[in-house]
Amino acid sequence: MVRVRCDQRLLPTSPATRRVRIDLQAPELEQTAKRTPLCLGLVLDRSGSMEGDKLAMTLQAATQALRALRHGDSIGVVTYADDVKVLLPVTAVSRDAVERIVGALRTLRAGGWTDLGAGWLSGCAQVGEATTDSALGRCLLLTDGLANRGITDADELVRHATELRRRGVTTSTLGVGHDFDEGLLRRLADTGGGHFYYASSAAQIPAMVAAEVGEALDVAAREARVWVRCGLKVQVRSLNDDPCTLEDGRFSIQLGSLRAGELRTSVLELRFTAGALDETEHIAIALSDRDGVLPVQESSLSFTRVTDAEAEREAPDVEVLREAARLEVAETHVRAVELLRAGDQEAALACVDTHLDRLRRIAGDDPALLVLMRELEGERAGYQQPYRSAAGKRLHFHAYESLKRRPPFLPSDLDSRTIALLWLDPGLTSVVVAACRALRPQAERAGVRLVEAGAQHLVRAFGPDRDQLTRDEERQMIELISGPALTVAYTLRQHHDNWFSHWHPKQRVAFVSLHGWEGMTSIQYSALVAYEGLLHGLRVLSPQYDPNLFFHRDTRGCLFDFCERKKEIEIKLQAGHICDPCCERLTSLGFDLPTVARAWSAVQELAHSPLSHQPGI
Amino acid sequence: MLDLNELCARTGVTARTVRYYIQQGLLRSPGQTGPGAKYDGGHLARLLLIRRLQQEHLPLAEIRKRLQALDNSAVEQLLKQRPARSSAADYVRDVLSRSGKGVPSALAARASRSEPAPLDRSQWERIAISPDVELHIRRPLSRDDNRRVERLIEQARRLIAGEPGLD
Repeated sequence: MVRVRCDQRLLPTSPATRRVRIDLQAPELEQTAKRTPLCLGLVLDRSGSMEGDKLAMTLQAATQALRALRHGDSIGVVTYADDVKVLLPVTAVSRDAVERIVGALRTLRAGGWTDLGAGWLSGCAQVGEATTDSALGRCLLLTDGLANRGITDADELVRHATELRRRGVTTSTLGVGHDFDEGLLRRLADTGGGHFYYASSAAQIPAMVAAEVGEALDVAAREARVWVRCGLKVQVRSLNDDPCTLEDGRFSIQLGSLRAGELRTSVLELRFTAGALDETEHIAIALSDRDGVLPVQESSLSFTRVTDAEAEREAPDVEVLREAARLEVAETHVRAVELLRAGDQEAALACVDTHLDRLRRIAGDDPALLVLMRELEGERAGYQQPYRSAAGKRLHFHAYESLKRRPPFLPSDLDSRTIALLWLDPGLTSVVVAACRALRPQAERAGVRLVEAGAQHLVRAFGPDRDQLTRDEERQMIELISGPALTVAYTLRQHHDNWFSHWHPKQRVAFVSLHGWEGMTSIQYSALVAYEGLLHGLRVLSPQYDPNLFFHRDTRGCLFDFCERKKEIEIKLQAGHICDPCCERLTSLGFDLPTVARAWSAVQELAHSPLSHQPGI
Repeated sequence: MLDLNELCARTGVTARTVRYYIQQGLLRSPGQTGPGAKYDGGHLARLLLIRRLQQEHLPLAEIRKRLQALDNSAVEQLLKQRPARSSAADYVRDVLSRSGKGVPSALAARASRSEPAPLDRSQWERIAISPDVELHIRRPLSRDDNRRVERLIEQARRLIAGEPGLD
């Protein structure tokens, strides 16, 4: 599925800018089709600053990632401080290999400086050696610090990322804590064809790694690209900040890898130089990918030169304009934070102001554009203060996710027969999307609409950055989130009482904390998300349903086992059972038992890790 | 001669895309259309080459131009060639040695190998005798050696397990 639209078809004779919006969807992996195997290289920072929680969480994350891999995948681990050690060369995944890796990881100790360049390059070399033509070669670099040894020039490292991507090794990056350079890590991931993650605390590392590995295991199209053929009077730029280069006379925009079923929106900015009246500029747009799953047919667009007055009068396609404006705001934040961090406050403010001026000119009375403008006006104040690491990194990451992911906003036509799963932390995006995919078939069968969206724009960017939410903050968020649909919201932050989830009956919001699961080595975050989605989602189908009335203290491996400890939840997720008394009660409340059972099985499938043959390890 | 399904299965290209290529002049029409259509080795080879050139991100117009200039044997020749760009590992070795950085030992060992030729790489097989004892065998073995190895494994397993062996 590909759809190409532009904001306006008419051009003045003077120079002008137009936007092209491309909506595409990667195909689902058929049951029988072979999935793309993953060749994963983990590059772990073990410099002195990683000691303690960060290293411990990194090891947990690596172990969890390991357990998600399947037959046909391979994994290697490189660690670095001021020297680089190959902890494990890239090895095909097997029970045996897993045990060796877990053992090797336990020997990790922190200490030394940070030769990020050599560590990361060695990891890429490892992957390069081991990956095959049919696999996805991916290096995940995890660091908490700066590159202060070896190759430290950011531009040079970014060049290497591009060259390595061309040779089949893509790079994703994960930065932890306050000190790392978010500009460098973002650029490495961007040009490296991967994704950038920010974990504000050690506790978030496992969720982020889970998200990255989950995506890498689910790839339908590697090296997806948009190709634009146009005349010499046009310059092309990606508003999603995707790498755009000229190759063989065409503009090539790198979209990276596409997940099975992923919806991606790519917006291109076309800058036209001056031209003569009645001239037509022809643009041809095509897609390509390494696995040949994207449609190959070209789409064409024509832009005609008319008088300035005529061009002004043309009513633009609002969907294209809004998406372009949203992306431009996000890009402004990414640039401005990086400038502020580099000490150039003047340039940061200039960046924001340029954009504000533009928004003021084009907003008119369009409600969505006005909202964007007012938000940016509010956020401008943050750039007048010196760079504060936690707040700056958080804004930067939120904006980056906004650039790269499909618009995470809820549709406006929701009703009480809808379940909305919202993520409040950007690192949870792919985890919630995976959970929704698993539950959707049964939701549809029950006549219930299931939507997912990011609500992180509600979390004030320059606000507090503690790991734990207070009761008041929770109440404020619930008010902002609540709507006609039944909502389940997920955060990585800790609840004030350290409980898993809070149900707010008046607003019909279940607020779930995914904090503190790092100790569980075989938990799948997407399964947790789906479990809570199911538990509360059932409320939509029966007004008398209340999970609290179903919970029973004795352990039956049943959906409604009452769990006080996380270990117990893990067990019940993997058991996937519903006990007879609960089945009877569900039926008496009017539920279609097979549908509920199938939904619960879908959760179990997400929870089931192929390599952990013993439950409750 | 292959039918459309077989052609698709062998090349990993969908039927729809094959028809598009024919329509765009990249492939000869199979003569007879419909379910009876038959594709020959020339079709197969050209389709494989189109796929590879597509993976290298060449536009269709360029691919068509190149293919028109080639006869079937030339297409086969091109398919046999490997792409010219250096591997990721070689690129990294180059960068690290230029920056004066030592290369981690696991990479250095491979650096002494000549240009990578995947088909020449030896296959070592690991056979578990017991959880803590393995036998490593480089394939392929001669038939006699195979038989000896089978006996060796059987003996070794018995020995480790503490059972009476044949010695």
